Amino acid sequence: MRQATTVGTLEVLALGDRGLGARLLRRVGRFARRQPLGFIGAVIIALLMFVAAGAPLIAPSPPDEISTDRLVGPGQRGHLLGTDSLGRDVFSRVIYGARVSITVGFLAVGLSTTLAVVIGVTSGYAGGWADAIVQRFVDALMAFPGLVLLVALVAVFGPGITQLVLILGVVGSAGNARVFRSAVLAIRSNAYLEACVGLGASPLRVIVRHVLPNIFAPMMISVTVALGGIILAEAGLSFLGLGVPPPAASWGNMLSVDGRRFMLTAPWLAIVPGIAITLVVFAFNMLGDALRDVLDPRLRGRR
Amino acid sequence: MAKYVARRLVLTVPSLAIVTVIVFSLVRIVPGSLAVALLGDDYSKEAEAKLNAELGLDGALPVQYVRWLRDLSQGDLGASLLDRRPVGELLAKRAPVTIQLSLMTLAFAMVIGLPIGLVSALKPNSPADFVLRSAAIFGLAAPSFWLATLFLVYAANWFGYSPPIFYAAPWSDLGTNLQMMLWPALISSVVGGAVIMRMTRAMMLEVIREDYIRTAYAKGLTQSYIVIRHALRNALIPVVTVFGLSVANILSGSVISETVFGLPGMGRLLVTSVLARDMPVVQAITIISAAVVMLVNIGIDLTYAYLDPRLRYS
Repeated sequence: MRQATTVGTLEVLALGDRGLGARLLRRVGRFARRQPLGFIGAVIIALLMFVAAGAPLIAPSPPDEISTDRLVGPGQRGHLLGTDSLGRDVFSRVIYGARVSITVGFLAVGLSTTLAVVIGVTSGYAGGWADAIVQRFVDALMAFPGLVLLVALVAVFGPGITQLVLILGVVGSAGNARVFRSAVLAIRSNAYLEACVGLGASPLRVIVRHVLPNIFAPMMISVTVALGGIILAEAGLSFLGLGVPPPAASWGNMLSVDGRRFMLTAPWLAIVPGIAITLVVFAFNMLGDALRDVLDPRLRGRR
Repeated sequence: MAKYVARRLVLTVPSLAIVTVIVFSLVRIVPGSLAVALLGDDYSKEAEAKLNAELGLDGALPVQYVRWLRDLSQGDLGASLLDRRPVGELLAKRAPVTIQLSLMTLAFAMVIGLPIGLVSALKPNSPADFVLRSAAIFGLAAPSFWLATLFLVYAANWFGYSPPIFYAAPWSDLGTNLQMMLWPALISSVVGGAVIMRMTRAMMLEVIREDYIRTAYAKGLTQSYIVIRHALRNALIPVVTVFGLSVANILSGSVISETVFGLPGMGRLLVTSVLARDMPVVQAITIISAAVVMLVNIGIDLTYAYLDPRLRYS
């Protein structure tokens, strides 16, 4: 086994001796070289999570602490990114806003992916009538322009973070269910699945042990892209005054309440939260693209 | 082809039925009761019964649904809770704004997306390609409400621009109308343009590798002839499907751009109605936009079938 002849294998063996850490580092390095944009995306996301987790330590003041330093420009009186009309520190609010985006993003994507996997995989695996009926439901949900349905659901359930997570999660599941269903259909007729069924494995066992691991790649890609989309949707709803209610700091509502009324004299209020949203959505899109390239060799080089 | 068309139309019927059920349920899944929530302090048993009757919330659910569907099919969308006017009347006034904005947005998205995608694909991995692709990536990530806000700040600060306050229909005062609609449409078209650009580029790159393109080069045809007559025609077929997706996105975008720019369209009406919990209006806009998206997508699928000979003759 260990009679490695080619240089490549020797390298791998040598690295194996240096341990897991070095191997991981090497893989990360290779990813960074081949997918520079995806790597930048991953770094931004890591930074975002770090900032969201350590918000109380990083932010110079609590996000809703008002002061007499109203509409102070960036860099003045110790406010890195200035203050808003209530004298709240914009830098602190952007940092706490990352918490809202991350919380809503991950919870809603968790919910939508779970729903999408259950719906998409069972529907694709079952086929026939059940599949046809479920897919008409997916069609119907996908017919609504996303923001229109979201806004209408806010009218029903009212604004708030919990409602937002549920609404975004359920509405977002339809498109992903379609993706996972196609992934299942693509592997459905493979011999190894037939063999499992032939050996008497229950449908649940086949799905959990054999189908799910094989659709892991599309799952990773759609989770990444969905995170960007959901963070954008949350910001849009909050911007319209239908998402995260003030005084909580969210990037969307920072642009709505203050950004619009005082932006002519204090443009930083309109600029800073927008950059945060754009950067994070860009990061998730790039990471999603890079994962697609890495995980699906057929698409390599296409964008 | 006939079989494909028939199948496509038959599949739409159940989906449309489910859409009506979803919109029908919107008012009925309000936690607690909508009437109680709307009445607030004015609550009394009689007032609740009266409001429920007005909203069509009295009687058994199947009865309510059939009644609602009957009214809907006759174009009766109920009355607004705010000013008691028929919803149909409200929408008739607002719809032209949204339709004009959407068409202009779509046109801009195409004008931006197609040529840029083409240029990018013809010189893949060149500096131009890199710049254009980066711009598209930025366009996908930057929220349109942010771009619109920035535009309003800087256009006002630098050029003293402010959008006209009163809306003018294109047939009464085209100049004022365009002053109002041009910028919102251009800013909303950024996302759609980016999507079309990426799709055009991907499809062109795929088609250019095909055998028949190599054959065309081998025959000694010029590059422009090959690109226009052979490559572009085949590359654009899948791009058509993007329009289907774009319609939903543009309608979503109109909610934002109409609100930011103060345009009296259906999107802004939706937001004000949601804030006032004017559910008949919310229901009407929701179902109309879903129906529009479905119809457009049927149209696109049929066009696609017609354009793609592989589908046309199967």
